[in-house]
Amino acid sequence: MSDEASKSLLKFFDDNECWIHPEVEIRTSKLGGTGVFAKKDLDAGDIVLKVPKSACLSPRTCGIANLLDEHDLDNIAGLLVAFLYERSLGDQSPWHEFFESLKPVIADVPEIPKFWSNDEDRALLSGTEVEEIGGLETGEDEEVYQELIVPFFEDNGKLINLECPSFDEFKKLVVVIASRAFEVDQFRELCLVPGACLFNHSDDPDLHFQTDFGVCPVCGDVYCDHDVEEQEHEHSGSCCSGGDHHHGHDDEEDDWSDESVDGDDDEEREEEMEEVESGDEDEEMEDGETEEDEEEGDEHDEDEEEEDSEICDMQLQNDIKAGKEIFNTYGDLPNSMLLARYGFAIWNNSQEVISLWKEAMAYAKKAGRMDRLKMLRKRDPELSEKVFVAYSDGDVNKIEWGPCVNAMLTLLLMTDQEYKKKVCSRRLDKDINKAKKLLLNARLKRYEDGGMTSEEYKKVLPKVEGTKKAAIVIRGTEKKVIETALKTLK
Amino acid sequence: MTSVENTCSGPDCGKIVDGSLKCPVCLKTGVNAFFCDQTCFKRNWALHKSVHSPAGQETTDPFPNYSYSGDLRAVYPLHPRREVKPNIVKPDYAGDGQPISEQKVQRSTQITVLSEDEQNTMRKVSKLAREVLDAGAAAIKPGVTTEEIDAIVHAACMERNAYPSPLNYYNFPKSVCTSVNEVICHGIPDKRPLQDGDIVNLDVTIYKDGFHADLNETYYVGDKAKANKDVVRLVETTRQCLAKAIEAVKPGVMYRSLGEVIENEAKKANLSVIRTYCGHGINQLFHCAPNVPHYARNKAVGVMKPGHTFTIEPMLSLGSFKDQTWPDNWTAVTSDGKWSAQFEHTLLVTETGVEILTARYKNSPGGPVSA
Repeated sequence: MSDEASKSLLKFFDDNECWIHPEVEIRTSKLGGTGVFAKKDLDAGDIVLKVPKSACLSPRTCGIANLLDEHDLDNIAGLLVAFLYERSLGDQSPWHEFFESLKPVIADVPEIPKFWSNDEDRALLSGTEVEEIGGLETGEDEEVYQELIVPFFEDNGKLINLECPSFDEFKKLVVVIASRAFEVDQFRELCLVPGACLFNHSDDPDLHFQTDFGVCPVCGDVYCDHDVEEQEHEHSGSCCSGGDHHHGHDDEEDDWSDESVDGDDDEEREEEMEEVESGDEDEEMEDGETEEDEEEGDEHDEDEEEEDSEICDMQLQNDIKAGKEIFNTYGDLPNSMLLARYGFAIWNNSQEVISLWKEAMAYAKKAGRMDRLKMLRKRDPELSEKVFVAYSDGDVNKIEWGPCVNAMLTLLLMTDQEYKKKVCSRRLDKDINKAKKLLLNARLKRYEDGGMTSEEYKKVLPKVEGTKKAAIVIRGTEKKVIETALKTLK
Repeated sequence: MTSVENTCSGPDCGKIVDGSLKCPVCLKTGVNAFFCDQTCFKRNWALHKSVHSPAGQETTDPFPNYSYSGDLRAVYPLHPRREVKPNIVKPDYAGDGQPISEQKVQRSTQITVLSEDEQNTMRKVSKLAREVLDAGAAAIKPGVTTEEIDAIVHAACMERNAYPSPLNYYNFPKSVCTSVNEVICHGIPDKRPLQDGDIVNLDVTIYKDGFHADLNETYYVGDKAKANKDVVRLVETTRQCLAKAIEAVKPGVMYRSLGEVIENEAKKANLSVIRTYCGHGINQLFHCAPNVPHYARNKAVGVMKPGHTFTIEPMLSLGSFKDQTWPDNWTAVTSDGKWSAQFEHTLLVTETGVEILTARYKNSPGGPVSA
């Protein structure tokens, strides 16, 4: 961040009762752009940044909140228009200094793949998860632009003396806004939180964004006369994307599997349970130690401030050594989502998820058992999202299969007679593993790269830049998951 | 057969009474003070008994242990709640004090745009509100109690078949707010006679044909006040602040920008702007969006559009902007006891600018004096 931009932000902090830890600094990150670094050793539990909610910009807190409300413009589109309007006011806007600090960021914003100008690089994403999740399709953005943004400016542009942004400008700002927005509470919803957006993303974050989510959805106050049902308090969120992308970690049981499949699944579940339990014990021990530490050296008496529902803050979850960059998370997101939304991807992302649904369908078709898959999907409309392979618990050495994979494969492996009777008493472990290998190998073919390994991709990395580099990171990282999964099956 | 509805005399209640339970002490003096039930009567006895002082009239300070910030004292007992003619349509809080419709509103970012018909009704109701204020103001002179002014305002409302909006709004006991000297706003009319040299603000709101209209002015009591330079500076600057803020009103202007205009003007005269109380949207609801702070650098939301109706009502003080509230839970006073003045209009945003719906008539009482 340039000195000027940094100064602007600090002035904004001063004017708006924000607080940043005196022992952190904002400077250029080797990841590109700016980052926040520890000047001295910092401890878990330390608050690094405090921003009053009143300093957050949202469609609800901006000067044209009533116009946005009339057009039902909220979320990213609403925040984008709020931003455009307030920025157009120059130094008449309460957020002027904050916008000044964003200038270099906006000039430097990465492109998201659907708008990549280099066709060759975009072609490198075919067969990847980016394509799988629709990250190359532009339809949605054009729809938002044409159906929400343009009509808003037709109705209000004259009143607020502001021209409709071009589609190009819109595309660019969507990325800026999306990567910098946080869900602050039920009233303000998606906000730009000055300062909070300075932290770069990591799949192993140091920070936690904390905010009292449960305010009155009518007026945003904690105590008021408004007649609304009481809402749950104390919610901690991450970046806007934090909560909305879960890859089926729920413990939903498929009712049919209980009666038709023998003990296999249950046994497996028991094993998983044990692992989880022992893991918990370890954590408890660690927790106990940290608590003691805190009691001994209780220099941070932040309890009162933490309770203050008018403030959002960023708190360290672990110790940070002097000189290290402090990372936040944009959510537990795989590379496909990071690249599609924010224009970047990380090598060996521990949150990586590889879909195997298309392969599963091909497998069923080939076996002439598509009817079984269809039946299953009828019972679970989200089945396609539950057929995947991923790293387990953010550990790149551990593999986790989607919650329905075993059950689905069992169903597909049954003989016709077993299927009819809904009983299968054979042990299918080996067959299931074989099928999994088939799926993984089929998935590898989608890349159409002559079987390049993740290691080979890694070697290419230093030689490429920009969007090509991002595409290589995507491919290499995805392949690594599949390779690791294949290894664990041996 | 029609009958007049009786409301409970319990200061914290105000429900419609269907029984015939009355306070026996009041009954002896010929006053019918209804109560809804025994528990309510017992609960409210401590406050209610203050109305029992014998005719001839000893008055008392109901809060002898309260540390008042200035010279003004509450002077009780209060006259029992005044009756509203049964044919007058009442707002939802007239019964239990709770403005349910305000509490149920949509998000505070929604600002109602009135149709032309609705604007016409607002026009009509606002003119009537002006007449009611002028009737009350005409009675201001040394020796008149604020409770007597309340009686006049109440009667003026009844004459116009309008409900006095403050009455029972969150259980407010009177039909008008009368704010004397260091009182910033929401003063409860009582038995204190106005004195030569006082200033008093009358804040009138009426409800008729489904709409509220709200205005207030500060008046000099007697000639002594008009000779006090500080007081004239306070009152006339406040009047000027409202005028300047109104000049700034037009479509496309942000509500948050009005505070800038007012505070600039106040600063020039070395006066401070009260921050706790704000202007507000007004229409079918007494108080709604937008919120209109009068101080600079506020972050109020919303931009003006033709068809918005709202109030601007700056409160300025000779001393600190800080306020405190009397134990009656209404009367807001400056915390340093320095005097405070206020002016208010109900405004309509038009295609080209603004219409002052509660504008003064040529012969309206009060008006500017030169410093």
